[in-house]
Amino acid sequence: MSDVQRYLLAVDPDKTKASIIAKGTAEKLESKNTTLIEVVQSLGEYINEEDATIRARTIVYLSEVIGQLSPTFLSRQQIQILCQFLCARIEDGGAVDGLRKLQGLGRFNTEMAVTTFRAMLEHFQDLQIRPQSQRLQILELLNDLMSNHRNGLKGLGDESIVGITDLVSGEKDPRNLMVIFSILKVIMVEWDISGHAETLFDSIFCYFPITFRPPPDDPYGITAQDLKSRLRDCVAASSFFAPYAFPQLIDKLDSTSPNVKKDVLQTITACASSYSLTTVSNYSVTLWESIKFEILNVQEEDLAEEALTSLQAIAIRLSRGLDSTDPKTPLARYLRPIMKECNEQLHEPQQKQAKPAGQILSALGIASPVAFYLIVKTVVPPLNTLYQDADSIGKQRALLEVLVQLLDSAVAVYGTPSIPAPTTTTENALEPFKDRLFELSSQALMSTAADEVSFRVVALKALLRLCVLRKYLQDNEIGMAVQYFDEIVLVEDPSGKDDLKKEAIRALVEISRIKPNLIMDITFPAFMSKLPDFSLAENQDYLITLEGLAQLSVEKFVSDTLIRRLLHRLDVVLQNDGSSAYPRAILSTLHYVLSQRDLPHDSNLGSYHEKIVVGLISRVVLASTGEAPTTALNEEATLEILGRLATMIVRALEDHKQNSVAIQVYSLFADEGTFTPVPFRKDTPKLQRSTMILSTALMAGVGRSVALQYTDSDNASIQRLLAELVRLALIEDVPAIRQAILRQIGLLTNKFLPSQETRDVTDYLRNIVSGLLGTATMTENAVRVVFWEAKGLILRLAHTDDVLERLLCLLSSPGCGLVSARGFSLLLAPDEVLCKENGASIRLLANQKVFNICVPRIAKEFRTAETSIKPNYLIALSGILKHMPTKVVMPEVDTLLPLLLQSVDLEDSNVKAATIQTLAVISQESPKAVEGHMGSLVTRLLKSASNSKATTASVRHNALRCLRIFPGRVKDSTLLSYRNAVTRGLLVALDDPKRQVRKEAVECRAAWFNMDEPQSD
Amino acid sequence: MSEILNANPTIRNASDLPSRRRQDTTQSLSKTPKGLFASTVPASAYLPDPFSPHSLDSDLSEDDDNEIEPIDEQEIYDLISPISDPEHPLTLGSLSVVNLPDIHLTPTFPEKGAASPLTTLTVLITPTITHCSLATVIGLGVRVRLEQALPPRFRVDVRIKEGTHSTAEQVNRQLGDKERVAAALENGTLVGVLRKMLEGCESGAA
Amino acid sequence: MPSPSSSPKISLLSTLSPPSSSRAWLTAPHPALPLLATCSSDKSVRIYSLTSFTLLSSITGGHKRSIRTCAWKPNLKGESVLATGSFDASVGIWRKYDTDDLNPKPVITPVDFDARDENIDEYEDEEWRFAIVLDGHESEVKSVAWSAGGNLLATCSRDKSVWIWEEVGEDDYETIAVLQEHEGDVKCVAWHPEEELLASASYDDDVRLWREDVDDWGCVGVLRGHKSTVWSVSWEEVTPKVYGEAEGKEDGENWMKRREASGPRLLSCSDDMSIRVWRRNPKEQVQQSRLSIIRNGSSEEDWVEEARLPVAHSRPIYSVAWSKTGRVVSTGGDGAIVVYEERWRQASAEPTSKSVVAQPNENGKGESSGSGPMDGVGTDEEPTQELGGQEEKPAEGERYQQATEWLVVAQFEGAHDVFEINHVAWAPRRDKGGGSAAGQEELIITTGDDGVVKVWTLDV
Repeated sequence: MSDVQRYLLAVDPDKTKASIIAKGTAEKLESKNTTLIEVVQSLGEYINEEDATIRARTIVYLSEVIGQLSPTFLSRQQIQILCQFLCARIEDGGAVDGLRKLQGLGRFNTEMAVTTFRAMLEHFQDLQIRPQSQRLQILELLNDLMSNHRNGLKGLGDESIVGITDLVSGEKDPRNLMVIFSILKVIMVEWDISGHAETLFDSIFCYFPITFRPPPDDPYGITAQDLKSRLRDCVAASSFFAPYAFPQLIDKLDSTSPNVKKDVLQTITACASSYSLTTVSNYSVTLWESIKFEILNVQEEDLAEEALTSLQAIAIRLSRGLDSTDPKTPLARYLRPIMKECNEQLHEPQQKQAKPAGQILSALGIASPVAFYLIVKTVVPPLNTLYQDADSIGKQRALLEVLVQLLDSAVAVYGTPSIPAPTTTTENALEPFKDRLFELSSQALMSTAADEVSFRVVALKALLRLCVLRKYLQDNEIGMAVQYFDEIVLVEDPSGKDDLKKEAIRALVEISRIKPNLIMDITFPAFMSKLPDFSLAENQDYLITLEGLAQLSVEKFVSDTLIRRLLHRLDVVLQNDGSSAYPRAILSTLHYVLSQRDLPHDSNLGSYHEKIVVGLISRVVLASTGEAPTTALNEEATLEILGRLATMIVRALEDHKQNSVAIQVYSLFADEGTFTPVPFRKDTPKLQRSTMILSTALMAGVGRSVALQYTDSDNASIQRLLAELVRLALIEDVPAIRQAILRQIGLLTNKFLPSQETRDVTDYLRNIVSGLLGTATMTENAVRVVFWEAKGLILRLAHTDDVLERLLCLLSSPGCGLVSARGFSLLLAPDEVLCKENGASIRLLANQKVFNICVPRIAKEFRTAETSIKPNYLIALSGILKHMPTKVVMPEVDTLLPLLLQSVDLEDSNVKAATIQTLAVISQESPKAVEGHMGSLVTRLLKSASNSKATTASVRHNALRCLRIFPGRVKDSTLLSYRNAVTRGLLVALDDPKRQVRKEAVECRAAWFNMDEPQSD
Repeated sequence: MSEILNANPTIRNASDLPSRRRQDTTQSLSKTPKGLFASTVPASAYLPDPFSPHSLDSDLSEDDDNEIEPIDEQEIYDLISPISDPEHPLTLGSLSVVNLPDIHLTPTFPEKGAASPLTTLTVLITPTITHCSLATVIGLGVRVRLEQALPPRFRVDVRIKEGTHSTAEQVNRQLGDKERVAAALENGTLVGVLRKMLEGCESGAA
Repeated sequence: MPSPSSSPKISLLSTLSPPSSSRAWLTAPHPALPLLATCSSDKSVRIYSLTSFTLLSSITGGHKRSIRTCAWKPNLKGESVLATGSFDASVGIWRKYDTDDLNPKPVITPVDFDARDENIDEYEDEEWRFAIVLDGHESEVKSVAWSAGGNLLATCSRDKSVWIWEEVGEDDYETIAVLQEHEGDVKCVAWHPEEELLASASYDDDVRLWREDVDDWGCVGVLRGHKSTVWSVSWEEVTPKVYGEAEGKEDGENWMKRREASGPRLLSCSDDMSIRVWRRNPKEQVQQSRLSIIRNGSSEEDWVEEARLPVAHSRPIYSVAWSKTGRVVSTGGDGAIVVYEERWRQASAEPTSKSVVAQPNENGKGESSGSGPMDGVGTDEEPTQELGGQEEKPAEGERYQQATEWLVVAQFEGAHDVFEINHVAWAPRRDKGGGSAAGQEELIITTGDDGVVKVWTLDV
């Protein structure tokens, strides 16, 4: 039985088995056991069967054999024979596939390509009657011929053009169209299509505009955008199309559908960028006439954008290779009517069409230096005169805004000292107007009425652009502008002018990047001279100066000078005993400036350590013992800022320096005689106890492996220190100092305590707790100590179960149940001192662990607890959830929701606010979870949104924001039945005493109103 | 839009429109500095002490809770100024269709003065051109926005300003007829137009 | 006879529960049974009991938009028929057999949100059967009314037309008239208490009267005077009721005789915040005193504005109702309920000016025993010389007119808190055992934007 017979028998059920047979034949051929002639002859009887499937399968067999052969096996004649054989039977299935394989072979020459091509034309008169997959195969064969045997087809000239356009006409399927467009593009670009421009154009433009919408589960992933851009490439492929393309595109511009308009504009842009210069020039003015409507009468912002891009594309095309500013060039002829129309629009600067005119001019200005030159020449003089005789500030501002747009184009064309400018020979057209523009914008900024803020902001923007434009203003002129900006920031009274001041500072910062010397010479002295030597409490003008200075010190050497000067000023201030707010502001400035620096690699780190950490801290210690003239630095708030500053610097120190700091944590760089460290001392005065804030800062700054003071080698001493700190914390009533001590307890247990000692600390903790439960007179401080120590242990996941167990049983104790419940929100709350940056060990799983242990326990005990204790569980729960990542919370939503809903009814407004925020997060994350409880959720939120003594403004605000989440997220069918009740219930919130709450109520109600109701009519 | 009735109206710059921002006081340097330097202090520093329950935790409740901020003309203006004109992507505020001086709040029962339980809100609209057929739709948009945003104790009267519109009387009659307004709100196409006009009022906050 | 000095007091008897959760437009008291039908913008009609003041059943699913109006068919036994008019431009006719026990089914405890009020209707509403829909109007239907005999149904709509339907068979109605003289949205239709005479009030400021003349319905009278939309009209009962002692016997009798001749009067309330009383001039008088080209002789009726009720509302007046007891109640946008009485003018009041124009002015000067802070100020508009239509009657008729005066006798502000009130009606009191001492006591039923229906007593 011949291979073909076996193949025919096998192919039906099992294609792979058949392929193996074909492969076998190929091997026989290559091993010369059989010859091509024999194989072809063996097909004999089957190839002429009337049953088309048999014929098809035989040919498929043949093409599979060809496919299996090595590319160089077949000789030219053999390929020739096979090619003719297959061309004769091209209509039978498999033949096209065979030819595709053949044409891929090296010896397949152009002549064969031509025969194949002609066979295709002859047999496939009307491609559309064939199924899509077959059509695609044929097109792919054509595509292969185009890519491998292009000259062959090209040689046929008109025959190939006409042939192909007929072959592909009438196609609808997107996959086929993608192939057709790429084939046609090649022809349009490489063939001489002058004789057939119209037919070719029509063959593709009939598909314009593409309104294809891919089926939802589209396997082939062809989007409308793919088709549109391929079609666009064809339309823009040859200038010959221009006479047909532009008129038809312009005509389609009046379509009512924005998508069609957008497509048209993008196609015009493509054509303008690729057609020849003369073609584009011929149509440039007509295109302007039809496109301008989209910009001047803007309906949709994005359409106006597209139209601007088209106009710009034309200008860019006409500017290519042009550097003569002669008025007769195509570019000049194109720009003339545009500039005329824009100038006319600018006569009514406050009308709607003035702004778009400015946009057109600036978009075209960016096209090329020549375009910019022509525009400036024609537009700036009349703009200037219009500005002169404008009779209102409103008109002048509109004109100034156009000037700013033009200056933006100038910056784009000529760059700034830091932005490289394109190489161009055309000189900057703005050169002759330099003085006038400088004078105009300066006057507008400085001599207009002070409260014309929005006008002066525009003037300031114009002046800034003049300053930054490369090689335009001299240094002295920029210096004058800098003085104006300084005056606005420093001299003008601040009320209602924060916009202008912000813009002025922003301008100074930008200038400091290109001309730092000007800032150093002019702005710095001006700012520094404004800083008073001491300041009374209520006068805070220095703040704007300090903020300005902080923002200005972008460059390193500028901020070095600033730090030096600030420290000097601080010394002066501390001489005379003014309010503590001013030194605090200076410290805040230092903190801001240093936080922008890369301290570890900062050369002055050492001096900062000396001057700030050691210097200021010892000054504080001196003051605390009564030796220094002023205790301005000793106020808690100031100590906290100094502490942050110290922590930041100490963190950056290398180890040996940190060691020297570590052993001074409590002695605070003071020598023995003058100051004894606070720990292990009885009834220390408050002023000295407040230095603990600095000790905490240092303890936070040093590394975890560094040995602390009072912690000599044997491990007992940490626990001894810990016990002492607990004692101090229990009796401390000044909140800031108590917080500092508690943080030290946290740092010790979390950062410094060796892991083997955590067991003892946990037991120690258990004793405190049992002590608490026993004694009736439980102090709040004791609970704080317990929870800070627990926080330290939990964050490093040390004996978490045991620790949490202790805390949970506190909840049910009548004495300290409520305070403990509130403590739970401390456990996972982010802390400024006990954080990763300060070397604390914050384990990622801590959140999850706390959640897994506490939530089930709270849910269970809540059910059985008596009513008076129930709130404690809900408060604890809301505290845990407050800082819990949503991905931890979501899986447990069903158990949580009933509890959360009841928590909303609690009196405590903090718990109410926290619970509502958690509900909002849950509703946003998974609306389905809350759908089941919509009824009670809506009732409670409406109640919490209405003003009463139990609902603070923030509770009402959160409730409204939560209510607003549902429309659009929860399915309408559920919400519609509550709509009336909600819109009615919100009436109270609309009358809320707080404007902020009312605003939220209005938006919430609108959201519920606008839920799209099933249209009844 | 077959042909735009008023292609080139005068536009007021956004910053010229009356706003409440101008009147608020300068920044007070409370313990929590709000200015530039606040950015360097981590938020956790301002977390309230969890143990003492009545510590206030959000800026909203910083000023005392029971100080009442009355609904005034500026608030009404802020409600309707962002409504967009059906013809232009521009707001009624920037087109000067609604203006602060044309908004009046008066007690519905004059003899009761401030104690009057009801307040009459009169809003006068200035159409951009005198024969603008869209005046009714704009008026309806303003009325619907106010009825949805104000508590029921307000009686909303939206009128065309004297002498600014050829058929002001009929338009005012329609805008004043509560029953026709209610019926209009059940007509699908009109609701679509109104929704588009009111989209601008969403502050975009999710 | 209530002595004029003790002024009646309006007090809340009950709030029907559960209220609708959106605006309620109108409540129609059942002619015979202690039932109320309230139509609401949530596209439903709620049937409340006047004995238990709770919801008995609901009619839902009939209309695609708000139901603006409804009316019970009079003179029926054993079955109730309700006509509903909706913004969806259609009129529905609903039927229900009267179940003997009128006390309500055990209604679920006060509605908790989770058991939404919808499911109350499920097991109730199969009793209300949807009989037929009357399509014809091109836009929102504003009012429907059954003629006194019950065989004619009048409907009106924003399409400026008034339709009259006749029931020609079981659930089979025929349009016998489409009346289109109004130049604007027709707001309300009301039938004469006995004759087949229809009054309609409209957005074009006019009230029109319609009669069947030979076999063709036509407009027989135009009552002009209002300055803005006329929201509602209400007919006086056949037998008038005037309070206080008739001053001179002879004056009172003359007034009564003339009133018999002219028949029941008509009341209209309007957006112009005025309530006006209209009286018909009997035809024979017309022929003697006026030479006018009367189109087809007999059908033209001549109505004149007899009086204006004292101004008591500061916002549009949406609804007014003339009770069997002769008292009138009005309500509107200012949320107030005001009750008026017509009293014999007392001799002591100084004679009113004998102005040629029989301008009925309020009792301004007369002592006003009304309890509310009635300012009784004269009409705020200048004496109007009506254009066209009504020329004022010559002096000889004017002495009778002075015989009575209208006074505000009771007032209640903020009846529905800050919400507007859309409708007011009188209804006989049925919740107490026997009829009360003063004969059939009447209740005031108000329907408001808050979706609530309230029942008030007028303690005389």
